[in-house]
Amino acid sequence: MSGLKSGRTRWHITARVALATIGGYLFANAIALVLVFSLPIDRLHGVVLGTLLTFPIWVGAVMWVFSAERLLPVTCKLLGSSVLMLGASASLYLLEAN
Amino acid sequence: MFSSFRQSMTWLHTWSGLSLCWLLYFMFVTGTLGYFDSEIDLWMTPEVPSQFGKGSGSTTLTNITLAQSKLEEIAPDAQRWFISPEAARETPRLTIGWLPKAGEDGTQPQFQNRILDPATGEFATARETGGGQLLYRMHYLLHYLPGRMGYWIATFATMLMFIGLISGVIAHKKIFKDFFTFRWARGQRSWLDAHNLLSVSTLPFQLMITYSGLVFTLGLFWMPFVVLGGYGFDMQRVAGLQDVLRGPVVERAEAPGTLLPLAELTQTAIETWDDKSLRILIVESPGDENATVTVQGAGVGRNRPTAKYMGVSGELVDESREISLPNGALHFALASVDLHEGIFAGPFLRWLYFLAGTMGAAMVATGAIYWVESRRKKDVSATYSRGHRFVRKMNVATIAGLLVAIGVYFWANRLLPIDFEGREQWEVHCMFLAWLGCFAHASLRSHEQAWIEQLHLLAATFVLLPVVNGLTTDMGLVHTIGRGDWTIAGFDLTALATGALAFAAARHLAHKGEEQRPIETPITLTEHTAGS
Repeated sequence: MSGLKSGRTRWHITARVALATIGGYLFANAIALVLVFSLPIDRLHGVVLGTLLTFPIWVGAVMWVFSAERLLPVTCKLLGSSVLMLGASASLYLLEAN
Repeated sequence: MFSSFRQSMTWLHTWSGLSLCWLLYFMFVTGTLGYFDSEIDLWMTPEVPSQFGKGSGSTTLTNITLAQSKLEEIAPDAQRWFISPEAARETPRLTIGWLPKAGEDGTQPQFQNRILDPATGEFATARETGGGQLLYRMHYLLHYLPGRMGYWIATFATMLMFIGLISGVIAHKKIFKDFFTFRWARGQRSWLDAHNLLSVSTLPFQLMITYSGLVFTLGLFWMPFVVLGGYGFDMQRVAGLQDVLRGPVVERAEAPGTLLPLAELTQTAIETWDDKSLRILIVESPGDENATVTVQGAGVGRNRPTAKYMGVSGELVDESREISLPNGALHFALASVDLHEGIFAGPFLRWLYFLAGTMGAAMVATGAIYWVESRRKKDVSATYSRGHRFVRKMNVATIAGLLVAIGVYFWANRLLPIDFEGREQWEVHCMFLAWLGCFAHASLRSHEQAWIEQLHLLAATFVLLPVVNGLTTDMGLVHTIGRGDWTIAGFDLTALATGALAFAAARHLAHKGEEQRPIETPITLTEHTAGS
């Protein structure tokens, strides 16, 4: 394939596909959860809105993964920010519960 | 992954599109036929005349009473009843449906439905058929797959479609210029132009149909983290969301109760409605003390009036929840689902839906063909990779073969004996056996031959379909046009048009093959000589 940078092997592409699919899914859910807990709307509204937004966010994450120069930095950023956001929503939930 | 963003998006567009393109084509074709599901139902049950437009006011209430007594007779202990009084387009006949009691071991029985003769209140004698409903349900159940597996696979394919659409728009350099460009008969360039023209001109529809297809999964927990996490993994509160989506659930009392006359409840419900047309009645746990009756009107989304009553006492449980919810996101979701289904569409809009859906199928098909054509080698004796040969065969057997198979489904409806054991299932088996035959054929013949032969077969299947219809029923084209029955005539005319298009495509390919052959041979020879 022309334009494909050298050293882009089958394993590299598999890794990107996996990161885009699983990492992108996690990322989309994490953003949606932060919105659920931080937006000043009732829970039902937030959950539905969050779910509706997951799909475009997932697409965005997939595009991010495939357009990134190098695999390692994008993996760290995507998974790192997902974990941070999941942590943030867990704290927001605990704050709310107490 | 590439040196430029646009190149990356092109790569993403190519592979997200190609990897499940045949499934997407299947979903587009069967889903688009779903816009005419009721019309196909009518064609596939020629014994029962259409009652469309004849049901109104008092007849509707009489029909509901007829349906109730029949259901009480045959399915008193069912989990759920459905009554469609002949009123709206999607219910052109008085139809009853019921979900029988679950088995001792908890197995879910099959949903049953039958047409009633409004004159007698007995089952109308119609051939067993899955009709247009079965074709329509295929686009997300994928027919042979067990349980909800079809939903999951279809949703995943839809997600790839969504990625393909967005990355395709970005990959485009000159989206509006391309819209006005079409280079006819230029090989791969023409396929790309056709793909662009189809996609760009129907882009709003394709985005709507794809995104709303994903919104359907709202109740399916495709995004469990948002839902479960949002409620702190408290299953009781999650069930609260289900209540909002489906209306409050009333548990069975497990004590017998006598259901009120459904016609009375219906009358009470529609009295307050502006639009009094009725879509469906749903009775949960009939025969139980806690039976509920939901009366649903024919409007769209928040404008669809709904009332839910306790079946024994007549007490109102819930009314028009779509209107009372102050929830923008939920309204958006419900409206998306309604736009996807297009139940509200009148004849003109319905044809527009059909056209846009067909163009969606053509968009997927031209994309898949472009992939093959853009990788075609100049040297005709060149060998192709296994992947390339696989895509070529899949393209023929899906793009032409699926349509042949659907034609065979209609043929089977007319030709299988009326009392054939398991008739309904065998209509579908015939369809998939024919499709399997197309895969076998495509893998045995050369690429060009496979296209020409399957397109000819497709043309024959659809051009002869009205003939078979005319010979086996009394609603052939001559009769239906004569008496102005445009629903049935429309089916036959669409079949003729499909056949004619396939024939034109087959002739075009055959001529092109004849023109090319004498020129190609000497070139190959010289290239071989030059190379050796």
